[in-house]
Amino acid sequence: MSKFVKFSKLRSTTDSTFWAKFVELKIDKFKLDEKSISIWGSYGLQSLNEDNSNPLTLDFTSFNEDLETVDNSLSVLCCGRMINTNTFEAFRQINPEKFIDSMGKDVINSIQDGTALQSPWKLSLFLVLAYSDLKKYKFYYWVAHPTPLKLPEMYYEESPKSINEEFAAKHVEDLCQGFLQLDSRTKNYFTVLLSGDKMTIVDLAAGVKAINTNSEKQSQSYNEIYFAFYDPCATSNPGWPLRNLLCLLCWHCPTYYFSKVIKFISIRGNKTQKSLVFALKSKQYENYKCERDSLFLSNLVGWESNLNDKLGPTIVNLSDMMDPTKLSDRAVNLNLKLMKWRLVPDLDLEKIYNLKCLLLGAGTLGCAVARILLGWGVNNITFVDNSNVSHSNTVRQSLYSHQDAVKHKHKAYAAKDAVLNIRPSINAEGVILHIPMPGHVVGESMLDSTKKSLEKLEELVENSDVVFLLLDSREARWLPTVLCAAKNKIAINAALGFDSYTVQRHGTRNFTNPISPDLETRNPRGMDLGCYFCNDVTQPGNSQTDRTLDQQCTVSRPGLSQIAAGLAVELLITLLQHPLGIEAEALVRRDNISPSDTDLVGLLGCVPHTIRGSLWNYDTHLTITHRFTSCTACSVPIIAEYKNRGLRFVLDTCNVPNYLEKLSGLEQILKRPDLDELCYALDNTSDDDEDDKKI
Amino acid sequence: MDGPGTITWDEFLENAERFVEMSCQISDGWELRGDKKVPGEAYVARKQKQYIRSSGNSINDRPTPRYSDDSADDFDFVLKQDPFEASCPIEWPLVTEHHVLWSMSYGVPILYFNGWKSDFAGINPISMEEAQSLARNGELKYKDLSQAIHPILGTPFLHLHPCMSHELLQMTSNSKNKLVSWLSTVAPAALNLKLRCEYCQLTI
Repeated sequence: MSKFVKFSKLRSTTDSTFWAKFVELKIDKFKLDEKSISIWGSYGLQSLNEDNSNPLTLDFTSFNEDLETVDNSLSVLCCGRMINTNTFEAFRQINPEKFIDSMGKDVINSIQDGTALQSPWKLSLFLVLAYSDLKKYKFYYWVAHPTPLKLPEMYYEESPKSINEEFAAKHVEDLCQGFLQLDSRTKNYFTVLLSGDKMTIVDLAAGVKAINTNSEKQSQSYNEIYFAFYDPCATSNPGWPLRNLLCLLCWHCPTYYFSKVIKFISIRGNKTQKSLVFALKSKQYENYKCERDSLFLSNLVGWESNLNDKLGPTIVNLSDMMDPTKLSDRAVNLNLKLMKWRLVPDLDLEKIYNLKCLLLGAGTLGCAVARILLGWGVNNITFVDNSNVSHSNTVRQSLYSHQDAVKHKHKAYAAKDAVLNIRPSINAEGVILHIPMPGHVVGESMLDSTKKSLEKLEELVENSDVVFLLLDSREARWLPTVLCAAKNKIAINAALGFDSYTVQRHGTRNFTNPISPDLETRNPRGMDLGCYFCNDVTQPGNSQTDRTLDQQCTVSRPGLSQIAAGLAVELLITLLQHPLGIEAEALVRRDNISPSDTDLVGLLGCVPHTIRGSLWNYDTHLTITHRFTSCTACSVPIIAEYKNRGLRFVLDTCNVPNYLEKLSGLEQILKRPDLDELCYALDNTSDDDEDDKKI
Repeated sequence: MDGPGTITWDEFLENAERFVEMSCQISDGWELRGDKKVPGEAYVARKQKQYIRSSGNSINDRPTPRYSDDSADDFDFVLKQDPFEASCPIEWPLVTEHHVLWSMSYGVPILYFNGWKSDFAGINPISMEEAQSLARNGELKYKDLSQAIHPILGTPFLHLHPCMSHELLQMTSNSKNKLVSWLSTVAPAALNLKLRCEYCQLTI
């Protein structure tokens, strides 16, 4: 064999308990101390996977001061030094070559002064350079196994043999037993002597002594001498630990080293069963003494490669396991995944998770909607409300507690805190905002706040995927409807009476199309569906004036909001999982639904336009409202005017009577001479609808 | 549940104790955890970390740059060339955890397991789909192998659905240790769990 011997590099692995313990010690004991600390590492002798390398493991026991604390009988123990820098900058600025040279000096010293002969674990010293970001649970670390770069070249005298080829069966067994009985630290390096029929295991000092006395006396007290080392590597090359053993032999018995064939046992496998025997001989050097003397003048090498096969630190982010809020996440997702796995394999949970929901109104509907969104795993919820939690709210508005009412917290904030309490990892926001309303006059003093409100609302809608209209008055829904139409966002509207509810999705608006849709289509598409205001023949106005308190508050049966909120969210989810999305055809009649009609039937079934129900007779109707070309909220003239004039337009709707009716063309229609006929025709069509539903 | 193809809690526990005794002898890391006095509350478990070389059809075929992090690029040192360094095959860490529980409702053992393609249990988990494709022939469906909350630990685990276990247990009805016989049949489907051949002695 012509090639000189090369060595397989080592690998180390840290257990999460190593970092958990380190964090604890860093906070309680080391504090800002950057001095090196002594640690232990071990090669486990339990591995089942003996074809691959056995990593040096660092875990919580690595920091033990007393070795006897734990049972180490099934491991090979190595000692190491660790330096943890306090700052990332300090970590970055450390020169790895200088670091290993200075920190690894101990290996060379232990060889030169001979202490490694009695304490062989000093040869397997390892170094850890680390930086720990304790807040983010992020750890940077790099492990080195220092050894001199320079080494007399060694050549294979013969091919590596397995121990079964080299030794008699009895000796193989002796070796195994002998190895396992060694102290876990002396398992690193030892000497095996064969004399006659007897195999004995002695320490390195005895081995070196045997060689040196032999060369002096020229008589052999043994037949064969082997130097053994625990080898965690699994390649055909000897492992890294042999390098320091070679240095030790070169230093302490140079004559032997440079002239004889030396046999090494590379102990592999948990019971030495995979061990190899290497017979090596040094290159012939003209002046071997000089080689020996210059051995330790070279630099040290031995940094591990990280798993990307680069020389550099390993970076681990353990927040997933150490951060308690992230732990709950996996359990929440599991429940949803079960739905996917068991029932609806194509369910797109990612889409739901990433959905950005804006909840306008954080009252009884807003709370219930948020709860159900949480159930679906929605991760982005923003609450908008301008009122505070009062004592009458807590029993109906499911996100609030008595404490919220005592503190008179803003609902938007209290709701945000509540969902964070339920699922800490959620991305929740609360915004206090008064939505400008038609007919609610804006005086000079309110001009500024109205402007700010509009800007904020525009921004919120712009940044959302879905807007829920869950406000307590009709006119408060007007501006959000305009914004959703102008910005083409999905709008889901829910409104309550005493014992009746309406839940609907707004149609999409392509604002350049002013022509009336075909009213005859059986299941109109999203673009032909109306909004909350498309049925109206008057513009929304101030409904709060001339009303007593009980009329101003929504007084509804307590179960009603849960029903309506449930329908609103499920309507949204069905729509999201429909191949046509918001453009899905609206379901009206429940008979003759063909599952193959993919324009109508999506992954989770059909998507109606409007669901109306009543608790009085427990009836549910599906109705549709077509897009109305003179709608006071979503018609082309309104959207165009909003886009042109923005705030001025909004102020006019608030302050100028009948402004919207004029603008939308509604006034025009109401003045038509044939209005009666028109109404008659409309009445009849709606009667037909009613009849249809009764069938 | 009782009847053909089921085992009682007492039998499970007895089998489990034999199993763990054997594991201690051969030191392959299985241990009995939980409360043995309460039916269903104790289980056999093992956590293992190993290095896997990428080879066809294995877990680490697609080497996800582990715990991928942008800042890793900042650290790519070029150090002194070391003539004595052998080139090594790239190996990836894999942490696996297997738990054998007893299901009261089915009266059979049930296998819960998790795998992580990293140094740490909890980081970079093996997804259910990956686990399914790892099983021989990749024929496992959601109803065979899915995810469930570990009944004792309360955290998500992959598991093999116990509904077919009755048949398996009936096939090995002569075994002296039904737990071992059953486990050795289902193990390949659970991230290629391997049982040492020494366990065979327990069944005869």
